[in-house]
Amino acid sequence: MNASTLTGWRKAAIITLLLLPGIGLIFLLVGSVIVMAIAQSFGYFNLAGESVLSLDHWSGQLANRLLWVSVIYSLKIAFVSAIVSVALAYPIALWLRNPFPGSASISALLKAPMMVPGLVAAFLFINIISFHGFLNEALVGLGLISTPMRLQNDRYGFGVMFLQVWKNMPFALLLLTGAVQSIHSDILDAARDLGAGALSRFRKIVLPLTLKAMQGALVIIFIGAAGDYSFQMIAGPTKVSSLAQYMYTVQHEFGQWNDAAVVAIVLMTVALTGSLFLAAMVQFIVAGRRS
Amino acid sequence: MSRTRLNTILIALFLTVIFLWLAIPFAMAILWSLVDPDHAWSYPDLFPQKLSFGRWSEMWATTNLAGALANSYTLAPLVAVMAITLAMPTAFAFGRLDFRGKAIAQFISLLPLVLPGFVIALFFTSLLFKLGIYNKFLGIVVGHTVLFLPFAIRILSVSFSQVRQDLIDAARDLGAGPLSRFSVAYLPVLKPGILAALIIVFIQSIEEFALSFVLGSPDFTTVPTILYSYLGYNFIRPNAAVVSLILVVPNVLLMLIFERLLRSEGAVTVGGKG
Amino acid sequence: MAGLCIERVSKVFPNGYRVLDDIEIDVPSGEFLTLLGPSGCGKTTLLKAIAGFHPITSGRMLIDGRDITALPPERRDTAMCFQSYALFPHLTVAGNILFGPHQNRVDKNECATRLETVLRQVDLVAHSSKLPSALSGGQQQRVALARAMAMRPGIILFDEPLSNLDAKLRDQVRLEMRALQAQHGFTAIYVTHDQAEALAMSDRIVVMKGGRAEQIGSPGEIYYNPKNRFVADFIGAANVMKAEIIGRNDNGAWRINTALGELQIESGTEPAARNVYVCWRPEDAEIVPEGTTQQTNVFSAGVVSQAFLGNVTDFFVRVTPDHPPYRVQARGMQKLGQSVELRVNPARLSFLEAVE
Repeated sequence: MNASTLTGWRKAAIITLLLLPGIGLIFLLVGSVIVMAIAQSFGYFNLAGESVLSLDHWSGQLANRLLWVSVIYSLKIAFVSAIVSVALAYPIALWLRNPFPGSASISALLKAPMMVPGLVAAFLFINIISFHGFLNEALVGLGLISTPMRLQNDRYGFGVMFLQVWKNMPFALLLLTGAVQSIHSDILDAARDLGAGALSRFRKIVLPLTLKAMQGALVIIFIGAAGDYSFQMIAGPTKVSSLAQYMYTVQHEFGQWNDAAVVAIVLMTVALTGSLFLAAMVQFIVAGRRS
Repeated sequence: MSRTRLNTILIALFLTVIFLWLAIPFAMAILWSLVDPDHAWSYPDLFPQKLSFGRWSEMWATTNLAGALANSYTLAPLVAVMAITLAMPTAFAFGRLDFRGKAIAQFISLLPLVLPGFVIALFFTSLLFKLGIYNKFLGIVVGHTVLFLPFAIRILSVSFSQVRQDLIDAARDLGAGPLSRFSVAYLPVLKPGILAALIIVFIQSIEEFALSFVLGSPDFTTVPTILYSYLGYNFIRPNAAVVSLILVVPNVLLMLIFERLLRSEGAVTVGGKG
Repeated sequence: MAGLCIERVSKVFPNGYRVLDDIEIDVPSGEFLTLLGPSGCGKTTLLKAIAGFHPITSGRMLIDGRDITALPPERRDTAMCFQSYALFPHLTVAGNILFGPHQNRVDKNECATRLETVLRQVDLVAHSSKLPSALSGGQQQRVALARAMAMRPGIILFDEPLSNLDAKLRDQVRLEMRALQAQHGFTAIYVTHDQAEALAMSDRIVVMKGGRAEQIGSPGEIYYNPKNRFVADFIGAANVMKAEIIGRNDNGAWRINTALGELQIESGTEPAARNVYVCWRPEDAEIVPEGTTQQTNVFSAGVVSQAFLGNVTDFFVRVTPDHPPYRVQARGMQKLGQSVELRVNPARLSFLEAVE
């Protein structure tokens, strides 16, 4: 099929047909999930009772302290995970920018965590830090501490953040490596020639030119971390819930689909606005300063 | 300090970190999976007293591991084939045609990646219940297929865009009909792309947790959900170790094949998100 | 403006390969010096060593008497014009030009003055707030130059800056660049492989080969008095022959024996040995009418091929079957295969190096 022979209505019809099985299905799924969530949050499609328009679920949940605690917690996890992942990835991407003996192997090894499924990563993690895990055994064995430490399920969610960074830093590295390597060496040399030291070159040349990639990484990592359930369940604090965990608990343990729908929408809103805010903030910091 | 000297120090540092970051966790997992069921490994032993595959055979015989494996490895190929089939027309449009609204369509194609997995899992499930569809296998197949369509579309679009127009024209000029044109101009370029897309969707389906968990529990298990059952309050370390290895090893092998197939940054970016 | 001293600079790779071999050049302040040579001769390496991007293995470099050998690029008083222009894509023309002054903490008023001056000098005032992607190749090249000039450096280094421009633009920009340099008096070190460019622009040329400086001199010196076969052949066309010195005349002219017979050569330089190479350029020979009275430096040759160029004709003539044809430039056309009488001007023959 030669693209140039298609015009007007005929083209539109063929395009629609082509897009239907792929895009059409996606639109259907995503659309129905969102519609479902919104409708249920307002009382419709009630699976455990009458379907009646009601704002009670919204007012109830929004007044519930547990919801807001989860929102703050998930926001915290998401921000820290995204920023730390990117902050670790930048120096590594710059180090690996010019090939040297062994750089290809290092690059491959660093991307290995991407091949490990999240649950397995969580298991490996708690295996190491649990009461009888490797870390404690090693420290006791070396005589550095006398009794094992309780590291698992720490109160602040450091375990979850660590897992998020472990899982996501390679992804940030992937995006940033591509962006950093697309900067022509001459441009960095020119900056140096004009008097810019290493830090100056990073702030004024590398950051602005890799901004889009950094924003992409931040947004995707943020959204993933904000909606996390499994890391939270396995390695997260017991006293606080993540938004996804709270949502599932409300639905599964209390059978309140409508309230769960409210939480779902809050989760999606938080993920979206938080990530966009992060991207905007980074844009302002990097491009806002005029050199 | 010269650059090579700095590099050497950094490489040494890096290898230490990698050792802690990757090697030890995996070594621990392997050790734990080989702990003999009759000789528990506990403090103060530095190493397990006895290593055997006893745990593996016991799990196979007594737990639902076999069932979970059967489910996962039946789901995944089915999902992969369906996803590729459904993605082909859209990938063709993205890769070879230009039209108004293309950017919007491409944006839509990425939406499943952006919505939180648990939200999709929960409300897709409630949708299914509302529609009266209670077959869990079917539900997960459909869910997985649509969830991983973005990967298939992305990889196949790139493949389609690499088909050379002049080859198609030459074939046509030499009198080839649509089918022959397809096999001589399109297929050679598409083959690695199709294979890569199949692999990536397969891997994603095997690893997928949220939908399998929400929709499947408690009676329909997949490998990730059975792993989760050993990680919760019921933390049985050796079992978890066994299932982890079952999950990771084929995964790594397939990913290596995938990387070799595509050999391009673009494709790995799509597939590596995990 | 600053003077540059390159003292016995060498750069040797670990495997023994000498990229730069004992280079010694003294560049007075304000000079336009060109590094000329074929690919791989080391000219770009030398330029980047001056800028500070390539460390050297031995030797020193001094700017105005200050030893800069150990200084990193950001601390040297040099500014470079890159072959790829290397404009910062995310900064406007003004942003690019002011990058260097900002880095060096030049105060705001001075910055504004420099920007204005430099934009006027390269005739880009109207484009000050445009991004590099909105400019043509020639305009980008001028921004690169303006950016270097805004630093008010002692030395500006040019890395084949015109090679990405089309021929017509190149000629024009060449003249503009030279005019700017002459007007402002900054020292320029210019790298090119285009010998016409080197001859047209430079105060002095360094002809390089295999990491060594083969000859340093003004364009005239290089062209009229090449030191060896490589230089003679690299700049313009040259006819090179072996010669045996057989004597000297009363008027100082040397008598030599060559494949063209006995010739006389009037040269300011002494021959290096008894057996040397000599060369003459195609335009140094003329076709003389048959039976002419002039007897010195006349020889017969058969016309092998000719190419009419308009103002002159390029001839290839053969004297003996074992020697390659000689190249002669003269007016008019000849019959192929015909024998002609040619005379080589004795004052235009040059002594080259000794025959090994």
